[in-house]
Amino acid sequence: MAKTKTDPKRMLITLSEGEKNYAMSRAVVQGDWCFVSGTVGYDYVKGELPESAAQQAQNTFANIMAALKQGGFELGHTVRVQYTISDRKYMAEVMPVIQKHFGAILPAATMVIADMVDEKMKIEIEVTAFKG
Amino acid sequence: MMKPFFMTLLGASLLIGCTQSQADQKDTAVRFVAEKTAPSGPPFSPVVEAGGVYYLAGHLGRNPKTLSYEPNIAAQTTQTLKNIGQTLSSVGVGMSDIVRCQVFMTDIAGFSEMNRSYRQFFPTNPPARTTVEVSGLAAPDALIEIECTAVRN
Repeated sequence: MAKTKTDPKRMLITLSEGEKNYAMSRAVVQGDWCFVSGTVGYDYVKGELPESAAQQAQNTFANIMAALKQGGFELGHTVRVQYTISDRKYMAEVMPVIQKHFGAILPAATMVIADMVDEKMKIEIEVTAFKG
Repeated sequence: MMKPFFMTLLGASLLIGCTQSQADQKDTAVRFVAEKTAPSGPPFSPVVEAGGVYYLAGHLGRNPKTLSYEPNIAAQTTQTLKNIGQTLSSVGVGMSDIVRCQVFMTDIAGFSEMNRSYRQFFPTNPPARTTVEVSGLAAPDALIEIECTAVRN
């Protein structure tokens, strides 16, 4: 976690050193808002990306929740989510994981199917959270 | 379509911004406007209001009367924006309050046709917009999905 020089109220959240290579933070907290970057299903402890789309989805939520927690937020604060999956065939695998995490939260959601920067990635999730 | 219902999940008390010179109110309300969906359906709300910002789910060009998707990109764009207008009106917000749109198209070759339809909804002061091509949308017959953010003017 580091604060910018220009705005001491802004908090930059990092989960992996690799994020700096892409000139990004995992999340940016500004006031009551937390903007989480598009996040994928790496297991940062094991340093690996699982093969299974469902496990990638599970890890993605764990990573998002870790980022939110660092900023003093929780998943229940999510107001908006964008899902990108790399192939329609993964929808059936990831939907139960999405349902488990967001079934009671119901954020405004968008889902698209598109290629990822790494073909091993099967799902990416970006959320915006507001504490209110 | 089923009737929307309103659900306040978090405390909706308003705090007064005492430290600011202007006696403005800090809007801390969060409101999820959700359609009743089957428990196994996709878990989302069509619109969530948070701190005075309205986040809309991605909308599609499905005609609510026929329940089918319009046949081409021009008509789907028009229907998508009508559907967005319908959702916005359910929370008392208008198309002119949209500040940002992200447009997803399954074939960017339809960009000019999309623009012709899109322009009709924003004759002046169009919102900030990003358009990208994707290999598919969650609904197989959808050619376009538009996600937007609105702030009451």
